[in-house]
Amino acid sequence: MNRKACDDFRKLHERQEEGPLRRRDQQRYDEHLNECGECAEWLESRHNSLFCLRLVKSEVEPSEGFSERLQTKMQGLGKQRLAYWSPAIVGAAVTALFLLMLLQVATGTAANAVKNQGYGEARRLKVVPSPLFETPTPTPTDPMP
Amino acid sequence: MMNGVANTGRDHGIIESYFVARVRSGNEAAMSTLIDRHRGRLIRTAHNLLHDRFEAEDVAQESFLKAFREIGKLRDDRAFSGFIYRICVRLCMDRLRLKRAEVIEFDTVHESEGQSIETKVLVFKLLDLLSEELRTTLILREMEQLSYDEISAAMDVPVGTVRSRLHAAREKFRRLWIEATKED
Repeated sequence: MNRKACDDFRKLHERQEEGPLRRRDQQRYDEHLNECGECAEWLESRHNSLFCLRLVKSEVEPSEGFSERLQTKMQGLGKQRLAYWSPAIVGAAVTALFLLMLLQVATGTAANAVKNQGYGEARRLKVVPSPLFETPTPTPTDPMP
Repeated sequence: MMNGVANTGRDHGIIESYFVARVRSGNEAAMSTLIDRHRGRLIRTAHNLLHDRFEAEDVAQESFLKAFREIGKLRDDRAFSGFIYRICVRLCMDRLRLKRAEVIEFDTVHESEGQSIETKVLVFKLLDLLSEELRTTLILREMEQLSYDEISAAMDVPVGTVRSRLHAAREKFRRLWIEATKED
């Protein structure tokens, strides 16, 4: 018995479980199986153990009332989900509406201020220093003393 | 022949996506249809993994509830079958982790299911000696006949991990089997 050849054979067997081997590998596999009694024994015990495993595969069928019980649970779940989400969704919607209104009012006020002042006037008001530090100058409309 | 198989698969996907789309809009009749289509397979898979038919039904119900609750996460409506199957396997794995220390209850084994009680008890006993990962991988491959890719998706591990786990699980199960049958 050649240990390396046996290991090789068992590796090939694993590969065979996944899909067919290439012709050369299959030939090597068959040759070793014919020569090595230990590997033949290993293969037999392997087949027997896995065969018994497949033999006890479950064949149970759903019990009576399985679907009905599940339907009941699903209805309960539906109600729970509705009860959980309803206030959250309503609250979120109200908050969003309030924020939207607030934003609308704020942007509306600013826009009106600019609109009423006029572009040039608004810019002048922003650039010109405070009248506190200005010396009063007579306006052309003032009547002469 | 192959074309026929391909068409059957495609038709299955189309029918599945039709019902899933209706479930998305809250249609209860479509939910019932999907339950009828998948309940048998889910219960059997859970039973293979947990060895308790009542717990298996419980997990199957939980899988449906979770799948319908999280249907928004499903990108392709045709993939509902794999989606709910993955949920079921993961729920079983969670339960297996929780009951690692528990001893198997043989009264859950029923003779009417076709095989001899002795074989069944022995197999269950030996499977319980494997770690939860090895046991689940082995059952999904040998009992459920899933491909390596399907196991990888169901257990959320790379295919290489599936390969190495299967190698270890088969070998360990074989050794346990030899020891157990020698005692007889």
